[in-house]
Amino acid sequence: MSCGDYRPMITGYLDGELPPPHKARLEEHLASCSECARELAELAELKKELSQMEFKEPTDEELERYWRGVYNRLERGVGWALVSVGAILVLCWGAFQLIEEMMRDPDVALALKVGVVALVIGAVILFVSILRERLALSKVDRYSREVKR
Amino acid sequence: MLLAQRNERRERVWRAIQALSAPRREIIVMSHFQGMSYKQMAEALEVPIGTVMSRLHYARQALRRELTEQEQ
Repeated sequence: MSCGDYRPMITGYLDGELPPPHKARLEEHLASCSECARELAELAELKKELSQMEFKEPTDEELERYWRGVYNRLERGVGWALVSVGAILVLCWGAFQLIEEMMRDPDVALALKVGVVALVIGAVILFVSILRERLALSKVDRYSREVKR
Repeated sequence: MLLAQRNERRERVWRAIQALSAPRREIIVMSHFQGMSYKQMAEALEVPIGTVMSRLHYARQALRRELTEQEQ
């Protein structure tokens, strides 16, 4: 048997869950293998450290507060998303109607029409440019996860 | 060890546990914080006891690696 076969047994040995024949074989191996003996010492240290920590189960009240918080956040998230989509659609539709009416109106000066068209094209270019930059950044930004934390 | 140092170390261990993959975190929590035996874990996870032992071993190794990385 190689060290790789003995390694998982070290964990069982530490937890007192290794059957006696395996235990005797592992002890024999540990006496002659410094690498595995070191692994045992390191895992024993980790186990000791973990045993000093407590895992506090949340009370019913804490759990209820947590789920209420999740529900509220979800509700607000959906609310904001709908409001945003609605506002964007209404604004776009309004702007489209206004521009269309203006373009058909012979009384409106040509310079104003050209200005409005330039404004709309400029806004679209800016939007696409920012969107493209954001998408490119999100693929390579190593710190975005850290910042969100 | 001073109380502050101990708290800092515990904080690091918690962070390391959180950084583990879900199956590894699960087995660490079952074994160390819920005090389950290998037999209980094997029943809960529906796997043989040998699999519990190896999964726990690799989870502990990963936890130790995570802690070492945090210390660097």
